[in-house]
Amino acid sequence: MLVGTAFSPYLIDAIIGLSIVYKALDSMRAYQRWFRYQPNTKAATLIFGLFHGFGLATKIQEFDISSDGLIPNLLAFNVGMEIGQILALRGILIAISYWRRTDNFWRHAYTANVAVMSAGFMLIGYQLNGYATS
Amino acid sequence: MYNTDNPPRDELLSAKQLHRSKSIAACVAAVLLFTTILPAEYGTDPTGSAA
Repeated sequence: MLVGTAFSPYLIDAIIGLSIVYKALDSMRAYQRWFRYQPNTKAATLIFGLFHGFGLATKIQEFDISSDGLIPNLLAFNVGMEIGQILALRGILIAISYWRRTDNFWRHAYTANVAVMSAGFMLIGYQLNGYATS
Repeated sequence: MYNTDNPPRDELLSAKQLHRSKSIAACVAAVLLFTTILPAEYGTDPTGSAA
């Protein structure tokens, strides 16, 4: 099953870093300033979601799961991941909703997005270095 | 799903400010990468400070 699909996890993770930079710039309204255009969040989520899923898949391949009970294991992994995301996002959404109501939200969010973008650049550099040396 | 609203153009930051923010983000990332992340993750020593 898809055993031949061995795409470099480093490159996938570099693309994930790129998606972090993309989203930070999106939240900073950079595309509206540069291109007078707001990219569709749904489309961006779908495209980058595919890469993120691909990244998870390359990670799972490294686990070398036994083929005995592979499908239930994969399903359980995915369901567990979704539950974990819902649990985390529940708290994050509440916290950010309060943050949004503060007076200087836009300024603080802008600064936070610069930090997020920097973290994205770091992830890209980290992964590209891994790809270059692997 | 919520798609970002388009604020009036005068509320957007200028391209100059964006460029400044982007440069700061890239510089911080580069410094941390070469001084901390790459040495920690790959055991390399790009700055030569461990010699």
